[in-house]
Amino acid sequence: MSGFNRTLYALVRTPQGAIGLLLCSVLLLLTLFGPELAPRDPEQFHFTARFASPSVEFPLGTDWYGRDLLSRVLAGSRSTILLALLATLIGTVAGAAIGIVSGFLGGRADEFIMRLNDALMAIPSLLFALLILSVLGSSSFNAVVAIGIAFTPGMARIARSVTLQARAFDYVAAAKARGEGTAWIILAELLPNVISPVIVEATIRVAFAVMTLATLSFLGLGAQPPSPEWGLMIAEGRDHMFRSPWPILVPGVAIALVAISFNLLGDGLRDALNPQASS
Amino acid sequence: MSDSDNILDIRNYSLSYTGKAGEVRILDDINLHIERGEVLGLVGESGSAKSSLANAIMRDLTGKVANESGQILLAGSQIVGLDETAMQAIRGNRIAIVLQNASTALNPTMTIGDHVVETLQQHGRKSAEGVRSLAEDFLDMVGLPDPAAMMKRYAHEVSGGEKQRVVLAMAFACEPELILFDEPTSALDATTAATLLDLFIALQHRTGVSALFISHDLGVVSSIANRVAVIYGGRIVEYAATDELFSEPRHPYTRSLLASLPRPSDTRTGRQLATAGNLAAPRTGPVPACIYAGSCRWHEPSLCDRTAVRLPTGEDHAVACVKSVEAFVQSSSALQGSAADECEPAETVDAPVLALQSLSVNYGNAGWLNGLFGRNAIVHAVNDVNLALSRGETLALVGESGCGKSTLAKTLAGLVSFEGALIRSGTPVSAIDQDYRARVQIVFQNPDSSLNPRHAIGTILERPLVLYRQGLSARERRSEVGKLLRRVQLPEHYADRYPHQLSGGEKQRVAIARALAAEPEVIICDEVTSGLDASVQASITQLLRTIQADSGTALIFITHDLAILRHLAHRVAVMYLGELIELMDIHELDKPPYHPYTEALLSSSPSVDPLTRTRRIRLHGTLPRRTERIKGCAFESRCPHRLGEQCASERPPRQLSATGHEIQCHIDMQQLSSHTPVWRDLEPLTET
Repeated sequence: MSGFNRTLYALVRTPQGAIGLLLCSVLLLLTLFGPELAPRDPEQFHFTARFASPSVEFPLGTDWYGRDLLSRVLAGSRSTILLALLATLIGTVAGAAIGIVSGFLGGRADEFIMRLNDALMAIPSLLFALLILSVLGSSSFNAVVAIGIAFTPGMARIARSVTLQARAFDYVAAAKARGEGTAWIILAELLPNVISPVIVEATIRVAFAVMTLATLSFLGLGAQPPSPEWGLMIAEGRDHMFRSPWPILVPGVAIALVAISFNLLGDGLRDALNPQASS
Repeated sequence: MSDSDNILDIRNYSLSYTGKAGEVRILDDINLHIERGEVLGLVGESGSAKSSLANAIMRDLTGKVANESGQILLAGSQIVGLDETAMQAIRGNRIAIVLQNASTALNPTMTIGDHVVETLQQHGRKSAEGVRSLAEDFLDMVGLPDPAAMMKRYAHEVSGGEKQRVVLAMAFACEPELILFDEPTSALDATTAATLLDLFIALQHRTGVSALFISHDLGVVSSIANRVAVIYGGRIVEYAATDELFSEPRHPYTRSLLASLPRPSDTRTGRQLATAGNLAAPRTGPVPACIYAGSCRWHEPSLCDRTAVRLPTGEDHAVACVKSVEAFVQSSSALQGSAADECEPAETVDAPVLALQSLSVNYGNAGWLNGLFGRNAIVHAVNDVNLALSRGETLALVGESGCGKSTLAKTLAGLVSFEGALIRSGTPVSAIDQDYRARVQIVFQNPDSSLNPRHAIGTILERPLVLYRQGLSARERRSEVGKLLRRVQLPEHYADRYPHQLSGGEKQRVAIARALAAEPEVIICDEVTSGLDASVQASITQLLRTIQADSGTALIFITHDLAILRHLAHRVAVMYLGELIELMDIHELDKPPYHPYTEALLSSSPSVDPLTRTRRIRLHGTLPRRTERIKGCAFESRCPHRLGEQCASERPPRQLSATGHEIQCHIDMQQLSSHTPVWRDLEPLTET
């Protein structure tokens, strides 16, 4: 656990790491307790207060049905952030596994896996996700799976290129000369040296996942109304944009905040996970 | 003091950077001058701030400056504090720099001609036509063959030595007053470096340029500099005329540097290398009275710590030490004998633990496309090598980069497939299995690369125990790791550390400990001491000898540094372009016969030795392409003793002398014996 503590210490020493960690912890608390913290029922209509601007009664205003926006954003945080994290996790694990194995094998196998990967990467990830969703059918969970799969090829490329660099080091040759098995070389020798760029990339991808999820919901393929998912909130609010900006602005800022937090955390982690820097 | 004869005058110069833990002293109280037409050598171990001094003169400070004081005068005018535009007029024009790595100094997208032309144009020689022919003249001047064709080539199309010549041409192009050399030959092969040094000496005589020559290699500096300054911890501790400094070093630090440097006369005199390393100088915190106090064996607090020890100015041989030379002379015998065990290598028992029979390694595959175009892409890295290694013996494998010595090492470690036969203790090895791997271990050149940065030392040392000694319990393994660390003279608590927390020499010790864990019969040491400071190198060789004496392990010691061989090897095998061209006993190293290539290689290794004079043999000509099957002798194109057509068309015969000395050459061994020895003794050895 000392390795984890050291990384944590190095992380909070950089300003972006400290801020990123703080914001991400707050977001994590929101996903856990957000719905309970909501001051009102997120789905209750207040016809007397439609399109209300922020006030004491409704701190962030209301939408076209008079629903409290603060409560909706808080209630929606769990599904939005949690689903984005899950999608990233699927993409990262699958991509890293494919990339490291391919980079380690090298030669023809690597050539074959990577050309297949390139073909998938040629399809824009949103389009790719739409394709997958059209097969799986639209639901929040399917959207997560679709985004995870769409993220995999990019992650595989990054993991492979780092693996190729790591493979050139003599510790891999030393392990082979020692007669170590493939599993040890991949899991113990390569993985710890490859993991940090992958983690950094993953934190940045969380923001992408939030936005892609929002886009899918916006297109009506993810969460379904009246769910307070942030992307869906923006999609619905679009029709009333000229009556009041608040229904779009509030979830929009929330998405941006998540993106920025995870990007900052990613930047901080990149420095903190550098083994030479933490000495 | 202020004579305008000095091209460079550094007065009371100090520099410090802001580091994580406060102010870090980089250079401290530097007083140096370089006269017009003089070459000043600057020597010191890694971390002594040699390069920082060059950067300071170039006004290219790499850190965040906390404090800078003193003067750097270029031909009498102060350059500290000049702005960037003023400095740009000076850089290249008046001060040029030649760095270690020529391949990074050249832009891969520009032709060599464009590099020189650009340098000339940057500094005011504008006319387009004249510039190109001028550039050609400069390429001719640095001895590049066919300058007109060279102008059109790119950096990747020429060899490392030629690249360094291009950089030299660029440095000379603007006729600067001062050239700074920062380890210019360290990355080159010995024979190439030797010709480059000759070239520089010739050019320096012709143009009369002044130079600051920075190197960790005292041998190189001794052959080029008029005066030498010794730097330790950012302070100059001694300077003197070159001959005087190397024959009568006064400062304890200079003495320790020279004491760990191998000499050609060592076999004759039975001299031992000093292994006591120097600690890194304190860079932060209070300034010690004497910068060397922490590592000095003659340190006397009452005498040395009284006042700040400074380098006296205005002397020809200045020493920053309060003690008199007499104090060291009395105890100098103690330093000589500090590592006093027998110079004679341990006795070997004749039972080949490993034998190679017509072993060959080919890289690459022909491929149908190459076959279609008639190209041959197969590299013959190792060609028909026959060798036998006895138990407890050290066989040195020497040769320049690309001669196949590292490929041979990897082959024996089971990393590369081969043709031919490999016989271990009398039984042919059909497949490289776990049993073979346990018996034959390898130590790689660079411990930064061979130790996984994410693993603790304990984990690194435990792995071979898990693999090869499966009977051990976790607790037994732990104690075994402690034993291994003790065997390589490291404290046991290092098991919890990570590689980046250790120094270069300590890391290499860990790598050696890892090889020992399997209790192997053979350890292959692939350039294990290159890149280390001389004292660390001496202590690592000492360690290897101790290990060998304890366990009877056979060592294959691969190196390009011939000087260290006398202190380690029993036999020497010389490789050239994948072929074994000579095999001899270490005692035969001092007198002919030699293979002509070995002769040149021995002559190219510069050494600081007041007892011997080295005969100059330089190689010219180009190497054949590695993909070609060589019909005749591989060395034919560069051989100074080439006989004639038979060298190019017939394979040289393998000649064997009565003592087992093996030479692959057309020239008769009798005739090779009559060649003048490479080393001549300057004074007869007095028998004691």
